[in-house]
Amino acid sequence: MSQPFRVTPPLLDVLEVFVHAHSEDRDDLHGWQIAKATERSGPTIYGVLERLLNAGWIVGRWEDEYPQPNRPRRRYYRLTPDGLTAARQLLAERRSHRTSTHIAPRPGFAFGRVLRAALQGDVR
Amino acid sequence: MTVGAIVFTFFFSLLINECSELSPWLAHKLVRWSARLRCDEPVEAEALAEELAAYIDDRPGKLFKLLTSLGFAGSSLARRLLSSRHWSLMGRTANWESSVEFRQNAAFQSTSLTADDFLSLTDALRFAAHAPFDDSHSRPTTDRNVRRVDFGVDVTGQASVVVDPQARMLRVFDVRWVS
Repeated sequence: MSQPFRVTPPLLDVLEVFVHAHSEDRDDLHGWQIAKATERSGPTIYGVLERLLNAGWIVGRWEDEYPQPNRPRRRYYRLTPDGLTAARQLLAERRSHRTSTHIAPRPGFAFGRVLRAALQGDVR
Repeated sequence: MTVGAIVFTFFFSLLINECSELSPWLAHKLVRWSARLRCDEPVEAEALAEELAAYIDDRPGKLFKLLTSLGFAGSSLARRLLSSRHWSLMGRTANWESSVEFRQNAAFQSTSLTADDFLSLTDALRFAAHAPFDDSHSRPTTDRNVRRVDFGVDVTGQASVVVDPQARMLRVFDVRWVS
């Protein structure tokens, strides 16, 4: 399958999350779930999703119904069969040294992550 | 505590409260604006705005919603400014000959096209590069910096190219073909 995009660490992180979700039978993921799992910012995630969509590695679908009145619908993404094969191959080439699909925390910004987790814990 | 301090504290807390209530509303306005910056087609922009609004709603914390929407707006603005200068963060800019060469290699690696197919493909790109604004070689798109090149005889497909005739630059991206 063609790979008409730059392979960057955020892209590999997103692919890892998709492949991991597929292995747990949770194929469909929305933007916020991916951002939380990868600890990447929203604009970064949507840049990666756009590249994967254009390459045909993932497909998107809208939430079937409006969950609540006045609440915007989420868009869910999943790997295509070809995308899954290509993603696994790419991850094996680039991240074969990792023993699990856990995404290693990036150096720095540890305080930000702790603060964010604490705040999310309070709110949710 | 003086009367002035009490009045200041009262109005300041009122202001903070109002700001926190306004944050989600402002965040939705910002993501709608950033979607319009990112997509030229109104229908696509509307869809992206809804998706980003859902993302903002999923994000906990009123202030975080606003900060995230500022991130989306900044990213879309930067992307728009950069693309208007013939640069792209995601694509690659190169001399057109080396760019065609790059795509030749990529095609060899992924599909088994014949030599004639390659000549057809690369000729289409070369003609488009030599006469970037000639409609017989490429067609304009909604982005004035992007023109679409259709391939010839045995190869069905298309490529999008960004042209700068003065600098003799051609950026080829999104090449798709069916042999």
